[in-house]
Amino acid sequence: MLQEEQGKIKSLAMTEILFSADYFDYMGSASKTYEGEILQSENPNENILIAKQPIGVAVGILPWNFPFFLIARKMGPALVTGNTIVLKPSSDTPNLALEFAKTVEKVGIPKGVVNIISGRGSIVGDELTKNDKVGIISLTGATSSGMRVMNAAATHLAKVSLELGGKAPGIICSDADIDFAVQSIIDSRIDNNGQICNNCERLYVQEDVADEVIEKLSKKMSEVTVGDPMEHEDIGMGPLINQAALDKVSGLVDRAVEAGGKITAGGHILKIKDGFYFEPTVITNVKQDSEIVQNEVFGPVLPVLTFKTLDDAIEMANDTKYGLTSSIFTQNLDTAARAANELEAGETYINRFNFEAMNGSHAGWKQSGIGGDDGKHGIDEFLNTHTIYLQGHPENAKG
Amino acid sequence: MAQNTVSMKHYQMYINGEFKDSESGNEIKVLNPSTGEEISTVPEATREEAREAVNAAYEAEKTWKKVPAAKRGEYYTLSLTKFERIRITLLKCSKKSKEKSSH
Repeated sequence: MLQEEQGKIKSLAMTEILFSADYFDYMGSASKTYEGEILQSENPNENILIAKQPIGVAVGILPWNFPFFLIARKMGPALVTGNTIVLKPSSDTPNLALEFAKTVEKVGIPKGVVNIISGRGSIVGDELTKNDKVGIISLTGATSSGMRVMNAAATHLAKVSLELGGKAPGIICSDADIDFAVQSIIDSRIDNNGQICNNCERLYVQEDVADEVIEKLSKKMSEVTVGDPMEHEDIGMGPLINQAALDKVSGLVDRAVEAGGKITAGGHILKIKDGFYFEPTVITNVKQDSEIVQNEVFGPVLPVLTFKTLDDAIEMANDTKYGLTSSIFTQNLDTAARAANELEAGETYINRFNFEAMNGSHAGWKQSGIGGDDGKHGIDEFLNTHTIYLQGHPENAKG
Repeated sequence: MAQNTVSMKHYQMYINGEFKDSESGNEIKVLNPSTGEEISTVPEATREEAREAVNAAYEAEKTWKKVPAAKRGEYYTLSLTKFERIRITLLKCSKKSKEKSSH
């Protein structure tokens, strides 16, 4: 079902489902480990306790790129911390979410604790975000959706937890293991058919290895097989989610070429059945301030730029409105340490492809979001603090 | 858009423990992005139905928050056997739909 509605390749579809089941296990065990605090008081015979209590009704607005995992990511922490939830799956991928409701019922979760409703963002999403009985709205989606949700939430001051778009830079330094770096960048670009918010969206290569990297990258990207993932088990990549996504990606590439960009792999729409396929694409000779380097593509297209010094690379990497993830390939500890400290992003992957851990913290900076998911910080998103001043009679403290 | 010869699936919403369609009768069509074929329909809920879902969550919260956290977590963990079944069902489910659509 997941493959059918979303177009994932088989191995990633299996990963999503098993990872989601593990995520529920993890959040279940977290019910025994999330903790409050006890503070020292200035007063005699007093204890100050900070209890963690549920916010109330949570709304989870789900994207279409991981239609099943995002249920676990929102419902998992919301329920163990004592919130109830209304989930709205994307209109592109509502099937598995609604099918999952049967599981919610079978497991015996009391009625009303989990509600799953399909509909248009302009009607259902609007009501869910403006309803003053809602205490927290957790959205994973586009930055523009995040802005709409935050505006709606402002009408009744609901808490927002927004995991939004990204324009993740990848940096390959001349001292990196080039073959490994190239493969990792490709995996980071085409995973989920290029449609993950932390996918590598632009690549910066140090000048002296630029020719080698671009040649290897372009060759390997051209070799990625594309087709219907349900017909071909071992296919490298499937389609984009819909016609609008295909139009957006091909428009970005066409305009980049018109502006002088040079295609070194792919570059075109693929006609396969009536699906929405775009070739794995590498484009060079693009400018830092151009649309394809600044705007999220959300498809299998990688613009490549070069840099002389690490200072240049970090400056260009940070020159974006987004700040979700980033990556760097180097064997130099100083370079890695500087990148870790200076890249403006919620995540930096060092010598690794972009994929987060469930006990980490997936939270974007700048226009990539507010708050975030996973781990103990993700659990905290669904909790209010309640500070309790527990004072015995001061006189009874004497003696 | 090519017409799918496989019988079209329909999924219902889940509000306050009940599976239902929208009273408006409106539906959203879902496509398989790999083929462009229509694979299912789901309800297109109204504003009132969204409100109904929030009200259900609001009422359920009054008792759910009093359930001890460890007990809430048990719905995921202690019922591991149930969960394993779900995991297997899901795996079968994705396999079955694969077989169905690949002829």
